[in-house]
Amino acid sequence: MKGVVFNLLEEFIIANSDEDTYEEILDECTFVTDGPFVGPGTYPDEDLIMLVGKTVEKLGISAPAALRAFGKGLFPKLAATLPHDMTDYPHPKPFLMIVHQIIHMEVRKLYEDVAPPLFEFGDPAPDKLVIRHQSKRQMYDLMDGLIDGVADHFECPIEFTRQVQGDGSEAFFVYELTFDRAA
Amino acid sequence: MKQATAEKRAARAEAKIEALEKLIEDKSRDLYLVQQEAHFAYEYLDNIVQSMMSCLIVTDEQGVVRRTNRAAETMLGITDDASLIGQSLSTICDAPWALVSTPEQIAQTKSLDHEEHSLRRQDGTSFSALCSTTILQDEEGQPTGLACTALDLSERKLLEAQLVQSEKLASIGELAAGVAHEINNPMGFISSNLGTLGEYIKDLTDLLSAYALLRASSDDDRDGIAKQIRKKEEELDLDFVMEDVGNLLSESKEGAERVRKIVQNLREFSHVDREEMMEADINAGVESTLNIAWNEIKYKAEVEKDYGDLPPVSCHSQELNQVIMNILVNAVQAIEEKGVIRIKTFVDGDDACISIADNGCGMPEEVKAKIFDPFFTTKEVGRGTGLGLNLASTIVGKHNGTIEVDSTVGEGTNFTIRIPLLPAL
Repeated sequence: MKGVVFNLLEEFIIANSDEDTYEEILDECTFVTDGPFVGPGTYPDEDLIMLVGKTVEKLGISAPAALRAFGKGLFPKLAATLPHDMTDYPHPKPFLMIVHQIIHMEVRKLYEDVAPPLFEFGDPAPDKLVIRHQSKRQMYDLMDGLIDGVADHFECPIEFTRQVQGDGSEAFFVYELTFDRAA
Repeated sequence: MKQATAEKRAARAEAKIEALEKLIEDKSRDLYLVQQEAHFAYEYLDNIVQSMMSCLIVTDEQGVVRRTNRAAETMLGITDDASLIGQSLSTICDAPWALVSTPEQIAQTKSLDHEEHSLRRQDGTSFSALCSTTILQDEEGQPTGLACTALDLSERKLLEAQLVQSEKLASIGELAAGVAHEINNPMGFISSNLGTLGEYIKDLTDLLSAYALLRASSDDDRDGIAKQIRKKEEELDLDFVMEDVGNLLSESKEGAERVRKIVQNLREFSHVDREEMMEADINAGVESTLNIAWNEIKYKAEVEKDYGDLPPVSCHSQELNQVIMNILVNAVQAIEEKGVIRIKTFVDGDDACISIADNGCGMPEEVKAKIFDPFFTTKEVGRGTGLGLNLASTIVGKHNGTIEVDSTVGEGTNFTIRIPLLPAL
């Protein structure tokens, strides 16, 4: 996972508690990584899972709720790093269809050992979008939160369902999104 | 915030700066190494491109030349003062693939696979080249240009022309005895006729002298001389002589005409063909070739001719005659005792066709499969070069035509040559 996500998670935890709590959480974590997380770095997924797990434990919240809330808060921060022409679409649908292609391709160019999630799209109607999503990390609650963040950013409420298909590492999720207005 | 937390955060901030500096250093090194690799890869590929024997020209999506290799520079006479870079492909070729000027036109271009085209050097002279083109595409399949390769055929053309000429001379050599006989025969009776005519002229001269003597004689001698003249006229059979002189002259004239025609056919046959195609009468070509090979044919086969109404065809007529000759000679050799050779010319669709069929021994499949291979022959050593039908195939191919063969063992062989009525652009 990219270091920027760790840093944004730090901001999220501090915003929902304080610096002392975050340091206590860090002290309780046994990371694979030796050293601080920096934005451009790439770190083992286990470290993120460890940090999320200890945060949930410490703050007494549910992991899915924490990840979804984090995802929702994560999106505007990630969007701020993107070129304006990518986030200036009048509707979230074209953005969702293109963001994977551009962002993850760039990530792959810079870091050949990363494993970005796989996306496939179905376009059944102007106000609907089907996303077939498969990720090595399987943090689908985070994905839910990111969709919430997208809906807020484009000011277009999105209702969605997600269904798991397949087993184990081959498992993937199918999201069926319905937008409040047609694209 | 607790003091301890503040210290931890400060220490981590410093560690982050160090980690970032290390990251930048690592990435800078990676970038340097990648640049080096890219440089070596470029040098490696450039070396391959520059070492190619074929001329390579790469255009952008507007058909403008962006890259050439050394072979292209040599072949097209490109110099620093007359670079092709930045110019349209149409500078060197007038074929449709070279006239593209938009990505849409490039996308619609049919890729060439070793097609012969005329290319123009920078000094305006032209030469034949074997051209291939490939449409270059980006990751999304959009055309980004054309990569064209060309191989100069000038030397090959020269060798082909020399081969055609050698094969012609070989054919003439093979037919020499027959041609000599064809010439010797009329020469024989011309010579005999001249002998007879010489005797007639001597007798007639004697008679004319006697007439002169009669005119100059006195009355006393006249009856005696007239009696002698009448006797001589009877001895000579003057009526027969006067009729025979006409026959001998006419027969000799016909013999001389036959010799003249054979010599003319030989000259035409052995003549080096012009480089450009010219309109020619295919039936006349078949007939003239038949005349040359006649002595070879006449003792072994009857020839049935069925000449169709063919329009003039743009071709290298001497070379086509060579094709017909090679097939005729093979047909004769396939007939063991006495057979028939059927020659038919006709128009089929857009092609002028020449069919030459014999009822000779025919060929098994394994022989038929190889007859157009160079140096393949079933004849005994010293009789065939093994290049006759290979050359025929090359010549017909040069005319964008085809040569088909249909053969059954024990029944005979039929060759059909098809030449497009309209030459390829």
